[in-house]
Amino acid sequence: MARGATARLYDVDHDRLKFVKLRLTKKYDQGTISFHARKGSLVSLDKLHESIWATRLSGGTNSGVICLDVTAVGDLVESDNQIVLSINGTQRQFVLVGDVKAKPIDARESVMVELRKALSEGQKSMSVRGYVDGWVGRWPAVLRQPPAKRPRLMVTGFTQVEK
Amino acid sequence: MRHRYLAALALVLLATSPASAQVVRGVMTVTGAEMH
Repeated sequence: MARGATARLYDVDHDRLKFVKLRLTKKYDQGTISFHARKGSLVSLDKLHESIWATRLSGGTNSGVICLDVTAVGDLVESDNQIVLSINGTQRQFVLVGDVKAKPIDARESVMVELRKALSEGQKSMSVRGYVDGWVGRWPAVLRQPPAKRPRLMVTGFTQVEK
Repeated sequence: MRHRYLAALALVLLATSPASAQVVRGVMTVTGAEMH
């Protein structure tokens, strides 16, 4: 009911903002919040960070974030032995890596080796999925660190996209 | 707590800015006593 009210209030479609409880543990539950950008838009991780910070989450509990799994679309660029994903239509970039701290215990395996191979074969425009570094810890401490300008992204999947 | 997360995310979805926007979709895994 609250989800529906929120969606109506802010003109957000239900299928673009979904909360799912996993009930993995007895003591402290875990859940996932799925979100999609509206058509023609992208979601800013800076604003996500800012907005959660603005809710003034209290400390003293075990409440927090376990990981943030995202999909971004852009062009791959290799420089200084790093592979960077430059987001289409923006100045933003992700540094693509094979591992980060901010991942769940049952994290998917990195496919960074396969991505390097695809890049060497000339594939540049990609949709890349992975875990964003820095998004792990208890509220509100995890939010005290400002979001990285070029976040590290542990690559767990990718597909070539047509321009 | 749950309501706060949803409200925060809803605001973000509305307030997208081309200059700082980055992702087309995401899944945040969270935990907390408040979610019992």
